[in-house]
Amino acid sequence: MSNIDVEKIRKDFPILSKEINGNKLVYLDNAATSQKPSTVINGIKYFYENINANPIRSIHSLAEEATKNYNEARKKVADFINAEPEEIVFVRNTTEAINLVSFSFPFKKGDRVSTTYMEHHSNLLPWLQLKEKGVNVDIVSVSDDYELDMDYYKKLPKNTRLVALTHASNVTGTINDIKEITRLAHEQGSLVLIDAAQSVPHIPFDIKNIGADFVAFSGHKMLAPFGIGVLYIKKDIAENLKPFLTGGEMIKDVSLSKVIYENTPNLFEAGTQNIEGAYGLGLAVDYLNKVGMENIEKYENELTTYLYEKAKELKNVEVYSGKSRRFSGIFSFNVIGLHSHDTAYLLDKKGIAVRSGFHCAQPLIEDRLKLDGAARASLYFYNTKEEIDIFIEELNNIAVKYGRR
Amino acid sequence: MEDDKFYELVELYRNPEHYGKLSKYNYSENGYSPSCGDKFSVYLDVENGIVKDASFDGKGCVISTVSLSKLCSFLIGKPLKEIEKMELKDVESLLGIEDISISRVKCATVGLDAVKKVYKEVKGS
Repeated sequence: MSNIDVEKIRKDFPILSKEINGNKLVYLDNAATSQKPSTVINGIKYFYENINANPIRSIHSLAEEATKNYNEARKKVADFINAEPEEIVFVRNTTEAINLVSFSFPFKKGDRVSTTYMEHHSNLLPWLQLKEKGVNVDIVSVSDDYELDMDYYKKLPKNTRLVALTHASNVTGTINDIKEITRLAHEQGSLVLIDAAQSVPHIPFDIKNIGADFVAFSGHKMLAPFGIGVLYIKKDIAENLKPFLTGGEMIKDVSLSKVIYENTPNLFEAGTQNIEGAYGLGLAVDYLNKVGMENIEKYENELTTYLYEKAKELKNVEVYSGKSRRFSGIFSFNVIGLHSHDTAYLLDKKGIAVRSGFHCAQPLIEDRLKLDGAARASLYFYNTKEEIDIFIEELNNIAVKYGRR
Repeated sequence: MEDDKFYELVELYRNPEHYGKLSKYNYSENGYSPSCGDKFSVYLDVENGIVKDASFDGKGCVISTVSLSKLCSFLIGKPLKEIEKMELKDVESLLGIEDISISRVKCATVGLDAVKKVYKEVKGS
């Protein structure tokens, strides 16, 4: 058994005791966004009551305090993934992080970049846009078991400069072997970008062990407020990137004829940043560290296994799951004969929150799975086996009443 | 929405009236509701401003499918101009429900928006 006292943890998340449509909330939409603990919620209030000022530039005491806290948040995030603080760029979210790389990376006409069929649109559209610049975009195929074609990575097409892929699929929960793919890509002279939005919140993530060059993830999926995300850029690589947004706080010296830019990470943080968000992310990281990422991974594996075991009893329900799913806690499904939106609507009437539709992964769902959508339950470490029982019971009721072969 | 009402809509959704491309039509438009993945086409046979026949195809949820089906039934035999003043509450009354939730508004209006596009096209021609 894992070392998680889930009842104690749940007390830290005020929203979890809320009622929805007359029922106790069962929040199973964690892959969309996580709930926030009191330390983060109260921390934001504390920030504005005690720390608020524009950091970095102003030199008065309060601004120093804000700068100190902003830097501390960066250090906390760096430690969390075993990186150096200067390798951590604060952005709005995963989408912005990947757009930054696609814009700033020195692609030339005829270069190749690859992404995959199992990506969220945020790791697909920024690359497809590069076609306009004459960059070729390869889309790595996905097998019937929802696994990536590893043969592709063993022999990358010539001129491949960057390999982009997700660590964990937000639809099938498939976990990709990013360490091996990074090794293969580096051997062939390509850099690697990992969309870690669905993994960093759930497992110990050691970037030095993985070795990838860019890693993107969002704070709001890991207990932090909305509007703060992270782009990890491996040391020395940032030098080859051009600035993304230009303006305040990203320069060393400006005249009308010449601009000397700051070094990373400030170079990529133009304008006044989301200091409150970074501070909140730091507190979220503190909370996750206190629970322990190894404990979280272990507990979520238990919960996920329990969910999939229980789901075997269901009739008139189709499940779309990668073989390699482990920690991601993702369970995508349809009641046969019912649109995912209607399934989600019926679950919501019982207080159960799940996602439905394309999950911003339309090519995977429409072209590969041949579906017009799927419903998805996604777990986090504050979910319980009792909640899974409630979910399975209600899903069964819906499947019995509405399911049709 | 009461369970019985929803069940009734699901029954209509399973075998919607006016589903399938018309053999004869002179106007067609697409409608999308990206969050759900609803994707529909409407087909209208319009003569002298009157909708002689109407149909739709595509895929979507109960709310979007049934509202398209009911909208086609409503329009047949009427001046296309009727669509101009129609809004969400009219679709709600076609469906026989009230206060559709915010997240389902696009589902309910996907057909309405497509037919309005046709009307603009007809008016402009």
